[in-house]
Amino acid sequence: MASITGNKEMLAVSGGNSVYLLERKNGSLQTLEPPVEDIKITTKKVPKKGETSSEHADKHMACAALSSCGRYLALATCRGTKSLLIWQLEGQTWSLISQRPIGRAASKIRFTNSASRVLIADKAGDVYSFSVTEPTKEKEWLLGHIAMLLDVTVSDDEKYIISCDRDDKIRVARFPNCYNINSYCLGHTSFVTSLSFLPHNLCILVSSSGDGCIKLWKYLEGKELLSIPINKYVPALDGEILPIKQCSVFQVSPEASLMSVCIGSSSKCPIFKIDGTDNLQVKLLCTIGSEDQEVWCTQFTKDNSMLLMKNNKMRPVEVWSWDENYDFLLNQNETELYEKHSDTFQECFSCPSIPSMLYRKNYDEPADKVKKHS
Amino acid sequence: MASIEQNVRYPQKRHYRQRAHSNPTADHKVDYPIHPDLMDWSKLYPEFPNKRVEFADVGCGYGGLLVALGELFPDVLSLGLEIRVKVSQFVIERIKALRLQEQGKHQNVACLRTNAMKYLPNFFYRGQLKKMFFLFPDPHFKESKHEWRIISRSLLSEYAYLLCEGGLVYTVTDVPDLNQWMVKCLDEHPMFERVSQEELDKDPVVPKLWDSSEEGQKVTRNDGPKLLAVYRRVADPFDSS
Repeated sequence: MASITGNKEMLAVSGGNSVYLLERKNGSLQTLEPPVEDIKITTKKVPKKGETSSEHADKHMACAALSSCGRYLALATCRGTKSLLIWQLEGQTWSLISQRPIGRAASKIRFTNSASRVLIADKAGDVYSFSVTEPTKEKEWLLGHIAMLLDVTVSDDEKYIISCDRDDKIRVARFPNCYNINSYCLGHTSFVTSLSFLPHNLCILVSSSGDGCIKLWKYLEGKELLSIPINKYVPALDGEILPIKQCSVFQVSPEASLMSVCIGSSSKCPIFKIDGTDNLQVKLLCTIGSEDQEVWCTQFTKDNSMLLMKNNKMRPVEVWSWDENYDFLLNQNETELYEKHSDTFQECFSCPSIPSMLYRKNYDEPADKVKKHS
Repeated sequence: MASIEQNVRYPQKRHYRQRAHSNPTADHKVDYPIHPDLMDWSKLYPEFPNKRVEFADVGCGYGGLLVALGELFPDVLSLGLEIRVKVSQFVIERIKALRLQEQGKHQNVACLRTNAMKYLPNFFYRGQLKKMFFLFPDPHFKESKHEWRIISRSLLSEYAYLLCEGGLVYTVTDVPDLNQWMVKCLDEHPMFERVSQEELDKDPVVPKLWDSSEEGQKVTRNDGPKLLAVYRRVADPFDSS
């Protein structure tokens, strides 16, 4: 899925087969993409029955990640020879320091906190680690699920790795000895789309799911603390339960964090405040979003901004901030800086934000009808 | 009394035949609890309300080994897991009939139709199992299907989670390639250690693997290779290094 992330200096938008960097002070755009030879499609893929050729080519989106120190950028491409590219910021320029094949299309990529590795959660169900400090070192297999992975994250202290999949599972394992599973967080009834740590209490995991809920867990014990049915706050017009694409969390005080939620097929982005460390209280602050453009992605950045990526031809990127009363305001000046690039970002929305294949088909085996002999 | 026997309908295998291969990664409509806390075991083991399953026969087929385990270990709850609908139905009917035929016996064995590759952590708690059996698993010969194999580096981590320290994994096959594959996966997993032949000679379960399972009996009849590899779940060596 196309996504947006950023820090004080820049925003990184991933989509298609590249990452687009926007300089925040002047809105200038830089595209980082795989070297020319790679863009050629090596094998001619025949579209499946019922699919148009453009639908088929865009089944995957590139994934990008920015390290927390802001000095490294990673891109997992999805066309040609799927590869992981890593750029390092040297002064004002991004130089490519690594290019290694990844094999299967990535669902999510992330830097570890120390930026020593990039983790890739792929669509085949595996997590691979790529060294950043040794840019030519071969990838290392860390763990595997049976179902397709949708997100992976590592705790700040780099002691635990958490992965979530299409089969409703969240698995907590040790890191880097990932073969040692510590616990499972079981409770979601549909695919789990994202994982974050509650910033004011890092023992708590925040997950989002196709079942329409955000859940908070004491992940080391596999214990569910709280379940927030988002549809209660942002009901769909026809009463259907809408899936949650992802959520973003941000610390605002030693005992409180904000959480913005991105809902499938919805133009509304609710923002919550989560208070307390053991006894959690959740309050809806407001719901951002207007017009009928689907919110694609939401992300808080360290400089107290909130980014929104919207399927909007004129304004695909919005930057918001809030005051001491948690009233959210659109940062008009900065948002306008990015409007001139709206055409470039259109390809980010070329495939559905929640692919239909994530939903279970629940088919009956032909032998399900057992003849009972009386 | 004769009247009880007349009412016991022992299921006949020929009515429950199903092709051997099933795609374990597909979305079968399968019942499973969201969390082990939510599983009602009383339906399967009505006479044992306070016990937990300790032996799991993964891919129990027509239930031969399962029934033998129940008799060999009357105080332990054994569970057979089978993905094929007809086959699991057979085992369920078989156990029902056995329980009626021999009052007071076979209450400690049951069968569940489920996908063991996906849902074991939904049924069992960490360290709950003492023995896991993988008898004559589907070899899935094609390289593209290797990820369907029930013993793999990914799944072994799950089995390590489900087994208590000291718990055992029994793998049995008559396919040398598959035996080599399973041995390699288990050897390479840091939380499993191979059990010596000496120990296996003393294990009462081992002979049952060949003479109680339907597949095992077939191998004996055809004089096929009997490839057994048993491993013990050990503590993570990472912590002590």
